[in-house]
Amino acid sequence: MARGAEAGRDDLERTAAVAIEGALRRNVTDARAIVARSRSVSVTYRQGRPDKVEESARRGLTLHLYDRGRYSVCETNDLREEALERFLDGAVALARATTPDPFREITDPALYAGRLELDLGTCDPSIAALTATERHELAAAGAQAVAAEAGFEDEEAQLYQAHSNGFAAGKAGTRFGIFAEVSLADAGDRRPSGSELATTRSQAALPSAEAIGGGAAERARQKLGAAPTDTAVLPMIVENRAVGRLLGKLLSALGGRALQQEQSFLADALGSRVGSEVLDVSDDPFVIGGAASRLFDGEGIAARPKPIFARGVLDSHCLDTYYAKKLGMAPTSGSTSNIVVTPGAKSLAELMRDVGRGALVRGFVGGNSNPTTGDFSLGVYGTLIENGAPTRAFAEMNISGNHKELWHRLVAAGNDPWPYGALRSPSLVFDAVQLSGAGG
Amino acid sequence: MTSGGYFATRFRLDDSLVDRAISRALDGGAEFSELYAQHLVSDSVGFEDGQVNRASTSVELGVGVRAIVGDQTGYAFTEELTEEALMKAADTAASIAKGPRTASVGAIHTVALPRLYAPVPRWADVPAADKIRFVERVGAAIAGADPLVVKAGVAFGDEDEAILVANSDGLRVEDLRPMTYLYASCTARRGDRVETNSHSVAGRLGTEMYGDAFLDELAREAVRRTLVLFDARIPPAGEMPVVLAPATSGILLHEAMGHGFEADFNRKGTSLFCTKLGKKVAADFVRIVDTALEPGARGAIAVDDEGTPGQRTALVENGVLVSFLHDRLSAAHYGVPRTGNGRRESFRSVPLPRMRVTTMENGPHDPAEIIRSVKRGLYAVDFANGEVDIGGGDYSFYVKSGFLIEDGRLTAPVKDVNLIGNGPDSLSKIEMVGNDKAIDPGTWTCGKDGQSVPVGLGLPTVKVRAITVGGVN
Repeated sequence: MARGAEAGRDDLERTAAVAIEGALRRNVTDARAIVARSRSVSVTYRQGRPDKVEESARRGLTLHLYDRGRYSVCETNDLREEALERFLDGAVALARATTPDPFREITDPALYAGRLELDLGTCDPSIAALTATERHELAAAGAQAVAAEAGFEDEEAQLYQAHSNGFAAGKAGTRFGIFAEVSLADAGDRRPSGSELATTRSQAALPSAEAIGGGAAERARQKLGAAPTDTAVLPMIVENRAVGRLLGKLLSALGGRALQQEQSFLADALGSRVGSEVLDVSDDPFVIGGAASRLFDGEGIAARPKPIFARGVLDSHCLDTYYAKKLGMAPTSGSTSNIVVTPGAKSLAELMRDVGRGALVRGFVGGNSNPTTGDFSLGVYGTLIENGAPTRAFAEMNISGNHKELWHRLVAAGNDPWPYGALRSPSLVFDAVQLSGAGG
Repeated sequence: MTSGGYFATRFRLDDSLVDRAISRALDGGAEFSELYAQHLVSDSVGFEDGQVNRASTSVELGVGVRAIVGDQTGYAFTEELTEEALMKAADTAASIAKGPRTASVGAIHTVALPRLYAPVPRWADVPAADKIRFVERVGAAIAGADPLVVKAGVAFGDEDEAILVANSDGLRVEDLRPMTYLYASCTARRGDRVETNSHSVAGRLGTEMYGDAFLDELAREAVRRTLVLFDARIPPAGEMPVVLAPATSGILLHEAMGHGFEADFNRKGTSLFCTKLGKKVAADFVRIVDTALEPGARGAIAVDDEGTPGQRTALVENGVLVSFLHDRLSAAHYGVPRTGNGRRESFRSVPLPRMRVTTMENGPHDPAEIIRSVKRGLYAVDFANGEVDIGGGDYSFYVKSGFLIEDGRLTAPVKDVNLIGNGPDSLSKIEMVGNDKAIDPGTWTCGKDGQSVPVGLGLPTVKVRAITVGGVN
């Protein structure tokens, strides 16, 4: 952990204590305080010159109050002592204006137990030594590689969380990001752009600026000459980094609120098959250096790895304390950590060879899913696959179907999990999907 | 101007301190500097399972300092309004420039602003009990509207926002901006099918928005939008003529054209509209406007977040692209007056050219005649969300419900389909524009570069010759 993080923790603890004590003094049943602080610098270069330098220092208190079933959650970044007292008055009054709800209680302290003390590799102390010159060099390197826009960003963040019924813990993390964007001239005024971005917990894990710049240029080139192709049912490969938009809608059906409010197409699906055996997805809070790695969640529940879909079978929901109680089930955690999709053995090139003819979806443009029925319709762009190899670019097309059917068509996962985000998915292959484009 | 102003009175951010910070930000040789202060208090109340089960408040306070040299920007913000913190932010912003001091602070002056919103009392002075009554009334009305309804959800929100813009030209201007919204969702079950949909209304208004008749109508509309889905099916896939119903369909303008008109994309050469200024982009009867001057609208602003007074900007006149949407940086780049589109999510962000209320003006066609002109196509009524790829121009928006058009008549209800097209192509394929323009009052929020801002949109009935419909064959 960085020295700065340790030094700053006292202030966070003190603010959390003031908030909890102030709330209890006002006779609420329970209180949960989260105090966070972060500092970041971002440098953007365009055409070889600094375009924008932004520096930020943020802080804030989030306070959840439980008062005999009544509840409020209030946030402020005005942490001056006199402002905090007024804030507490308002927060308590607000909670008391709500209706008592027997399901609204602070986290069961039994769920705090078993918290591991692991080093998750989320903090890189080298951040303290970064100089302005180094930041500019890192940002400029990506821009030089492609003569477009590129940037570098770093952030350090600390959080301290305290509950009136016995939870207290802190955490700290660093984040480094590097990006490049390239825009090319194409036929008919089109200016396809490609961007490449990597975010890591440690500076050493970042790819080179040249790789990012080159990647952005390559992704722009992949869009040259894009046009809609014929409406057809085809095999589809979704590239690793694009999987989130599709998988996210499947995961959102597992949220406590969606289930309890009857807005989920996966109600009553626990223990049943919702996809093929390739659909193997887990929540792993202990990925070393993971974007969403953690030892406890926002309710203080001790983190533990859990399967979500085990070889196609739904194994667990995503339930916070409130909705778990309403559903008469045990809380699992209302938020996910790192979502890990089990990779397969083949590279993207091999997957394309196996498909023969199909669509490689590189990204999505808009679209949505119906949360209660599972119907989806999403805008897509990418590259057609013919004779097992990528050929011409397509754009301005949609894919449509139903999640309850789609995931049974998942036939393979690649060996290329995307390492730069909370979703670690390889490229996924579906054997048949409705694409709509030109023609009827 | 700020002595006795909102920030001077409440946070001791007085003229002298503001001047010192602005002046300090010019120290590195910047040509221009600016201080932006914001105090935002937001409240919300939620209703679920027959009761008000949550309430929340958020307070945000801070100051951002910007320094500009050429088209280079230095930016820093502080959440502590002390002299030390302000000067440190000013120094950080100033570091974008690397030379001797060249500019100084101009004579202090302010600007007259249009009156677009003035709620009395301010939301902070409205008792929580009143807000709770709004959500309880809507929640009960949804729950009791139809035996098929199984769940009713309601969320109410309000904001009191105060901003101060002070810059090295000497400008000092404050604006107090109210906002409120009410979101109602309905879930219904018919046989083994469950459908859910929602309806929301927002504006820069006070409690006067929430009469009983208004609340009852909001509930009825949420229920109607849900029940209509039971008889709807997924439409066929492929390219077809699309008729856009008035109001909500303004999302077409926002996604397909509006973003492409934002001048930062054009300044950087990344929008495919960047070579089209002064050129014909649509039929003669197409007129597109982006305006701040829609009283009480969610996208209305009396002044933008750089101190340019709210105004109306014609973008397409008689089919010709006549202006982009400018902020300070892009207006200077193009050598044109600012259009008042410099907006930001908060004091934590630099301003960018953003839309306000984007609409198409009335055209010459009768809406009934427009529908009659289509042999086989889609009539799009209710929308959820949209997105655009600026450089390629591909845009999409998600149709929550609509109808098929067969032989000039609305026939089978349809739902849950994404439409995708290319902005300039769709603009050139607008064949008919109705005379029934309406502005949608919904809770539209626009995202760009990680910043969200409230916007408005509107449209008369419009026919586009061909858009790709993402249905199932």
